[in-house]
Amino acid sequence: MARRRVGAAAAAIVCLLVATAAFAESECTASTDECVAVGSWSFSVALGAGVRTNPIFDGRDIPLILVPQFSYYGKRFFIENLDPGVTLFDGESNTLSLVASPGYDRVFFYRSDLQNFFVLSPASFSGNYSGATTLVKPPPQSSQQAPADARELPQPARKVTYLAGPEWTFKRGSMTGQVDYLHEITGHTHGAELRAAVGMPIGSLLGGSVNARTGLTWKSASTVNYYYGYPGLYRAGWALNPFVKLGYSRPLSRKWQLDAFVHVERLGNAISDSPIVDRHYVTTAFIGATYVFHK
Amino acid sequence: MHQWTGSHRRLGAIRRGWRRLAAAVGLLFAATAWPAANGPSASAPSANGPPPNGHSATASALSASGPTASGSSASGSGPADEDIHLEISPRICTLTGNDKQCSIPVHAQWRSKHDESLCLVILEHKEIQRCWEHYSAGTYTVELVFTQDVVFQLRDVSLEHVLASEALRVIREAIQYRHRRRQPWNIFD
Repeated sequence: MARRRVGAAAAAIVCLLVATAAFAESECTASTDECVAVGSWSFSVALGAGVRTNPIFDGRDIPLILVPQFSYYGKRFFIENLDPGVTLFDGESNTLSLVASPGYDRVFFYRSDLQNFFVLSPASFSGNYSGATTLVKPPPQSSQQAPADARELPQPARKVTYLAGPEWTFKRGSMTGQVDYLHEITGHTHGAELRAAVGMPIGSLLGGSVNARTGLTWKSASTVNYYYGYPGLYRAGWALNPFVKLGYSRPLSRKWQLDAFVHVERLGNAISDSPIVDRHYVTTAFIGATYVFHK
Repeated sequence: MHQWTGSHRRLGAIRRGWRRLAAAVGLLFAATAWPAANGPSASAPSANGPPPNGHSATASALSASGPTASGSSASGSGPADEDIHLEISPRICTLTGNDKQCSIPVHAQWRSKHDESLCLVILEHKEIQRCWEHYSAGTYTVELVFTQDVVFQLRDVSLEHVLASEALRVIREAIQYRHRRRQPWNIFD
């Protein structure tokens, strides 16, 4: 039922957008932070220090050392790291695209996940975190009971998944927003996600700019269950993960810039209640220098 | 039937007399013209030598191949502008992507059916001027940096009359822009 409601909402957004799309064209006339030349590509690498905490019980945090970034924008087609897409309409304040994006949660289980390749760290290629088994935290105990030990159970396979669907981005004044409704297309989770976020610059500091973003990700029950459920032990429902992000960027030279950010995501109850999850929050933080090889 | 009459015979004699006179004048003319056709103006100067009339190209960026004379033609008939042919290569410079200006070697070549005294000028680069005196052909190569169309002209030595003209066009590739995708879930967006 919830999935049907989300689907209907996404369809309504698309219809509204298509109806208004014919009255405006792209305002882009030069390369800026918001606009890019058709046919251009960029490649940069950030070198610095950072970490993404791992909410999985006994899971190791993911160090961030080298962060490559790649993008190409054609007239319609584009690819941004692991996210390819086709832009159906690019208007003055609204853009509608069809995008594909990898399932995010796998990064906590497999160090070799493609998304971890884009945050290279010394152990990026060392396979999964806990081998063929997964640790399950002990159930909550009353104060009279002796503490129970964690159990080690076989690790269910969590395959690489891709989600695809419409993406609407919009601009209102200095605020930008984005809504994605993505459905899993690789046949593993059969789930869906709704991603929504808004962001805006909030000021300048030491010659650089500070921007803030906030948003949420809704994950369907089948998506959450694929990653955080355990057969016969825990069956998850849908989850809503809100997040806030604060970023700072300062140009150092024509090719170098300083980048830093902190991203905090609160895991929905269906995820944090899982016996294989130990934390309620995932924090990602990084500070480093980015070298732009081509722009 | 056609019959010869006395008046016919007189007319024929007059015509024969005129033909003999024309032949004699022709021989006399050929005899006087022969030395001129083999005179010094037919010799080609060194391709890398200084310009014959003492003018020099003043742009420091010049890499002129020097004027060359090729052959000669009978002098005496007046020069016609349409007899002078100017070619430049390339004829188009295309600016793509983030190109702001063209910076290329441009080769100019002219030829004429007659010996000419003329100068090659570039309208947008007045400091560049190359002159030839009594030549029927010439080549010139110059490194140019430009953002707009460049017009090459051959002018007479007084620089008042344009004898031939060619333009090197600048074409800017139309650049389209579109919105960059914002991905808040990405590391740096």
